[in-house]
Formats: sequence, structure tokens, C-alpha cells
Amino acid sequence: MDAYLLKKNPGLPAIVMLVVMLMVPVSAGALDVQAHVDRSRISLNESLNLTVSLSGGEGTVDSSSIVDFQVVSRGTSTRVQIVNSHVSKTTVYQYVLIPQKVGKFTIPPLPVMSGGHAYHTRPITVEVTQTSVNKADGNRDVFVTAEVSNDSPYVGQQICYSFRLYHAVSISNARLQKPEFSGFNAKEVDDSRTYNADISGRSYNVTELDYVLIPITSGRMTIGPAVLSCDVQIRQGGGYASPFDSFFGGGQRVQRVFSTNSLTVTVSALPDSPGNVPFSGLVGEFSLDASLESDTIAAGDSTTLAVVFQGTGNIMDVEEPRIQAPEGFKVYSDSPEEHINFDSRGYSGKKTFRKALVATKEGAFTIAPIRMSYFDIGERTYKILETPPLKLKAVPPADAEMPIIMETSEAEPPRILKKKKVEFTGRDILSLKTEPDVMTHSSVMPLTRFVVLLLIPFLICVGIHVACVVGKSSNDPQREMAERARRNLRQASDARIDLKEFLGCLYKALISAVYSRTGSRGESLTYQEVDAFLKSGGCSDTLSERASRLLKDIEFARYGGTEMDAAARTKLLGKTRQLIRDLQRR
Amino acid sequence: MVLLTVLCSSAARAGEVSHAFVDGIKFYNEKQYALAVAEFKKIANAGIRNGKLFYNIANAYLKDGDIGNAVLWYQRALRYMPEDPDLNFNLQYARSLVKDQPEDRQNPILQILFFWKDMFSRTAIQWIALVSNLLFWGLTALKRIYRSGALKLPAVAALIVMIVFTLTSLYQFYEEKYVKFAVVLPAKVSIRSGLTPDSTELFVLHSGSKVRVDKQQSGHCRIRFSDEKIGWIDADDIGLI
Repeated sequence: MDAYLLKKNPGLPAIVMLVVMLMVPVSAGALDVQAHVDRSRISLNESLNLTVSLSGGEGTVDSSSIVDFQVVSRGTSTRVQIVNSHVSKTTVYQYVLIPQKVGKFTIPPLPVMSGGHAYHTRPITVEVTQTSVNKADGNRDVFVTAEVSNDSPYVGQQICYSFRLYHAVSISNARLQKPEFSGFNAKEVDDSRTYNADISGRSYNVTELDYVLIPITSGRMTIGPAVLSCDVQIRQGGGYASPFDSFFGGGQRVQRVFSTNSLTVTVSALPDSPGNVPFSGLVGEFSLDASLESDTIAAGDSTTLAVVFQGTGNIMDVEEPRIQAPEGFKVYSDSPEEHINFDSRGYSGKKTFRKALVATKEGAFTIAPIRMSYFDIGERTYKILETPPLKLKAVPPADAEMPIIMETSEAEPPRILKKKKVEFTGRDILSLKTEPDVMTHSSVMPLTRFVVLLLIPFLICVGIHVACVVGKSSNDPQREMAERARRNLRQASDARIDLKEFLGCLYKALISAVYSRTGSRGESLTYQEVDAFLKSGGCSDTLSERASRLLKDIEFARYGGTEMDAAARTKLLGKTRQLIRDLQRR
Repeated sequence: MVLLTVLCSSAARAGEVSHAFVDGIKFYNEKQYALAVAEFKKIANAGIRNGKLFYNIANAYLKDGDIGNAVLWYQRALRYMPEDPDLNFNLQYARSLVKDQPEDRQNPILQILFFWKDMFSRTAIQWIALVSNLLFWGLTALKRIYRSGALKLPAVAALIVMIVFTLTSLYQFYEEKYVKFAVVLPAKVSIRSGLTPDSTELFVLHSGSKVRVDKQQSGHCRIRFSDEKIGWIDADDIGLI
């Protein structure tokens, strides 16, 4: 390698080595699986280390078959070796096994899955003996304890499980595996406590974690050991270091696992409730109070009744008490209000139920006492909570305009109610539709059918219109005569016809135009008849006289034998055409 | 013989449908809502499209805790009976359970101007258009025959109604073919920037949210929750209304 490069990059050989290690294929072959323990004989309060080594490949270890010990994984490490260009890789799984009872146990063959094949470790036998003579607590540098505040609670009674870590030396990376608390509702108290304790003349730092447990069922319950793993500092020459050693760098850290003893809790069922008073479901120590916002109200107005449960225990589980409102009152419930604290003593606080009482009539009333029972854990018996009777007076309203007076019979005084916004008292969906037409298919009309149905009336209408036009044209005398006038006028325009025929066409054209104007049919008219005919048909005198005069001129030329040159013919034709046009113009 | 076979199979199918309907109601009343859904859906799978049937399916889904499918089937029922009070009440309740706040609000002015669109069912709108069309052309023909000026005003009124409802109906045909809406079905689903699972998650929707489907591609849909929120979702995670 270039000396210059080595000088510039002193870490380069290590990088090259690493790359070579990654590039060189790991030796292939069957997976070699080995398992061993560091000790084959331990006492009940000790633990042993189980190591599973996988060489010649990779795989996953299943430790779920170990049932006689509590298993705590301590992680995985990988080691790569290069010997004569031969690279081998070993993966090591490490576990801590904590014995549960005394006896001779076998760690079963553990399955290791690799490339679709299952390999197994060899079985290992371990003997667990009775607890060896303990060092006195004061002689130990680190230890853990667990206890419950009450080992014989009732169902529903809250107890406290306390885990304590004592350490007189420096520790780090502490990880706690809490018990499962089967048979309990468990909730961790958020704030852990740290304090100093003096045991056998030695000062310990104590860290305490609390869990509030509420038994769900009765019987003998076992709370398994809590397991704490942490790094503990020890002196180089053996033995644990003092907290000052770490400060001066005089020790090394080793991982240790500590476990508490199992605890047994005997949970008793609650005795039968007396039955004469409804059981509230509360277990603990409670009080009950009730008060009215105002003991005198106007009829139609409302007052609020507050019922307050207060104490220590499952206060959140208390159900709304049944309140018997006096006749003449309507009751509206409000959402309950909770102020609940949670600490190592468990749940405590108060829960308030509020009800709006609306007076519907005047008078003096009494709200009957509210009675409920609870199980008192101090006295181990049911106790009755009872509120005093509350007096309430409804007086006539000061402002009679606001309320609505409901009409009643003459014997009763009018009932007065204020309008209130109606609120939902429960939410649900409306019921199923069970009519038989649920099973009928309600199809939507397709586009083509829709368009066709739209066009049918249009086409019918067009047909009617055409029929009207055609029918009218075939029977209408006005149209027929006008057509005849046009035809004769067109014929008269032909210069090839002789004078007699020309004048005959003009005559027919003019007569036809006159008949067309009056809406009738006919062949001939005298000029006197034309004048009278047109006037009776509503034409102006001028137009009638023009038509009469023109007809007279035509008849005179036709029957008088007057010669006409082309210019005179054209002039007469123009006059006739203009008159016909005027007659057709309405 | 063929006719007899058709009649027999038709009668058998009607019997199955009736049986499923009775069983669906029974399971619903016994609070076995999943079974009620299965029975009611047998009727729908038999090809029956009915707003009341879809309403019942939605009710069973809602009682079973499946908000996504409940909103989907209520929306489907809405196409057939938008004016039904029970349906609107239950749909409003189901919407109150949806976690996502709708962002794509309809323009209130358009809602007022086109109030009939949400007031009448599609079938009703079609028939109003057809009847007003018939009325208009009938009055026009009578006016032509009798030359009566008194028919002009009713004809114009019929023409206006005919134009409005015909255009509405034609728009509904267009909407049915080209404008797709869907409802998110899983409790929680990521809307991503692309089709692959490692695409960036843009936002998260919850069951019951209504979205517009812009595009379908390779088993995924590009959906639009609002003008600003667009992304891709697995097609199986939504139900088309």
C-alpha cells in the first residue's frame, strides 16, 4: 500500500480489512448449534446464564419451550474470525434463567430455525437447591424487594404492590420486567420515589415503583417475581465498587440480574349484600352528601340537586343514584363530574351527579332521602350511605309572560312550564325497515329510455303541427284563391300570350285575390260587386275603390276591343300585381 | 319448457330472498349483527337494488361497529331515497362517529339553487322531467289546434320545470358515469404519494370518511379528500358508493 496514503489515512488498513471480511464468503455448511450454561447447580435466589452459539450460518432461537425458569434475554452478539483466509462467523444468544422452584430441571432442546431447517440444541440439566444462606441485606451491595400493602384483600379493594431497588454501589442501564399481575387490574403510579435507607448500618439509595392492584376475582393469586437487569460497577480486583470508584474510574461494569420473590395474595369475595338497600358497587371508604342550589323557586323555574360521593376506593365506578322526585317536578340529568386522584394509596376523590328539578306546580315538597350501600374495607361489612330529606318550595312565578301555561281542567290550577331545548338523553339509530317492498328492485331508468320518452311527446306535437298545416292548406279557400291569383298573374306575365288571353288572366287573378281576401270561393264578379264585396269584408274604401276601378278598366279593355301595346300591357300588369299585393297584405 | 324453467328458477330465487330477509331481521333483533349483514347482503347479491335494503345493511354494519361500511351503505341508500327521514337521521349519527372532519364542503349557494337534487330521488327527478315534458308538448299542441292564448302561461311554466329537471337528470347520468365517490373502510389507512407501500405517507384517513375518486390504476385509486389533500390508496381500502 502506498506509504503516502497510509500516512494520510491511518485508519485505512482497518477499513480495507473490514471490506475484505464482508466480501469474503462466510464458510458454507451445516449450521453448528451449541448451548451451554455457566452453572449446573444454583440456589433458588440465584440465576444462571444460558448461551446459545450458532456457527456456520444464521438462525433464530426459540426459547419459549423453557417453562421451569423465567427467561430474560440479554441480547445477541456476533463474532467473525479469519484463519488462513477462512472466515467463520458465530452468533451468540444470551439468556438469564431465574428458577421458580426447587428441584432438578431440564432445559429442553431449543429449536433454531435456519434456511427453512430446524436445528436443536442439546438438553441441559440444572439442579435448583434451597436458598443458600443469604448474606444479610446490609452485606449486599444491590438487591431488590417486592411487597403488597395487603395480602388478603376483597374483590374490588385496591392494594399497592411496591417494588424497591436498593443499591449501595453505582448502577446503570436498569431495566425492569414487571410481573404480569394476573387476576388484577393493575395501574402503575406515575411517579417513582427515590430516597435513602439505612440498613444494618449501611446507607442505600432506594428507588421505589408502586402499582395499584384491584383484584378482579376471588381466590389465591400469585404475583410472579419482578426481574431487574442492570450494569453494576465492580472493582478491578473483584467485589463491587463504591460510588466513588466510578468517579475516579476505578472499576468496570458487569451486567447483573436481580429478581424478587413471588408473592401470594388471597382475595376474598364480597359477602352477600343485605339487599334492603341497593349496593352501589363501591368498595372502600366513602361518604354521601346531597344539597339543593336553592330551596325556594318559582313554578316553572328549576333548581339543581347535587349528589356527591366522596372517599377512597373505586369512586369512578359509582352509578347514578335513583332519585325519587316529588310529584309536580320534572327531573333532567346532567353529565356526572369527577375529580379523581391516583397515587400509591389508590383512587380517591369525589363524583358529583347533578339533576335539574323543574317545578311544574306550586307548593311545598320534600325530596326523599337517597340511600345506597357500599362495602367498608375498614370494618369489613356493608354500610349504608343516606342523605337527609330535602325541603323544596315552589312559589308563583313573578313574571307570568315568560312561561307557557298549560291548559288543564278547571279543578286543577294551571300548570306552568318554561320552554327548554330538547336534548338527546340517549343516542342510537332508528330501526330496520321491514316493509315487503324492501325486496323489490327499484331500478333507475337508463339514459336511452329516458331520452326516447322525452322525444315521444315532441314528435307527437310535431306530427300534430304538420297535420294541421297540411289539413289547412287543402281546405282553406283563402289559400286556394290566393294560389289561383298567383298562378294567373304568372300566366299573364308571359309575353307570348295574346291580348285576350292576357286580359282574361288579369281578370281571374284580380277576382281570385278579392275572393282570397274575403276568405271565400268564386269565379266571377262585376266591378260594382267587387266594391261592395270588399267593403263588407272589412277593406278600406280606398282599396275597394281601387280594385273596382281596375276591374272596370280590365273589363273595358277585354270587352271593348281596345288595342294595347306592350308598354300598356306592362303598365296594366304592374297595377294589377300591386293591387293584388295590397289585397293580400292585411 | 324454457318458460317453465325460467318461472321455476325465478320463484326459487324469490323464496331465497324472502328467507334471507326474514333471517336478517331475526338476526338483527337477536343482536347477531354480522349474521344480519350476511343475510341482507344475500338479497343485494341477488341483484336487488333498493334504498330500504341498503339502509338495513348499513344499520346492521353500524350496530356491528363497522363505521366504514355503515356510511358506505347509507350513502348508497341515499341515491334511492334521499328524502327518507330515518336514513338521514341514521346517516347523521354514523357521520358523528367518523373521526375525520370533512373539509370539502359543498357551496351553500349551490345547495340552495339546486335544492331539488338532494330533495328527490333519481327516479322522481326523471319522472318529473318526463311528465313536465309531456305537459309542455301537450299544451303546445292544444294551443296550435285551438289557437288559445290562455294555454301560453301553463306551457311556459311546464317548459321551465321540464328544462330544470331534464338537465338535472342528465347531470345525474353524467355524475353516475364519470364522478365517483367512495368511503374509507379500514379503521385507519395511510394515503400515500405513490402506489408503492414505501411511498411517503401524506395523511391518514379513518373509516367512514367520504372521498372523491379521481383515477384508478393498478389496484390503487387516486382520491381527493379536499382540494388540498390528494393521494393514493389501495382500492380494497375504499368502497365505491
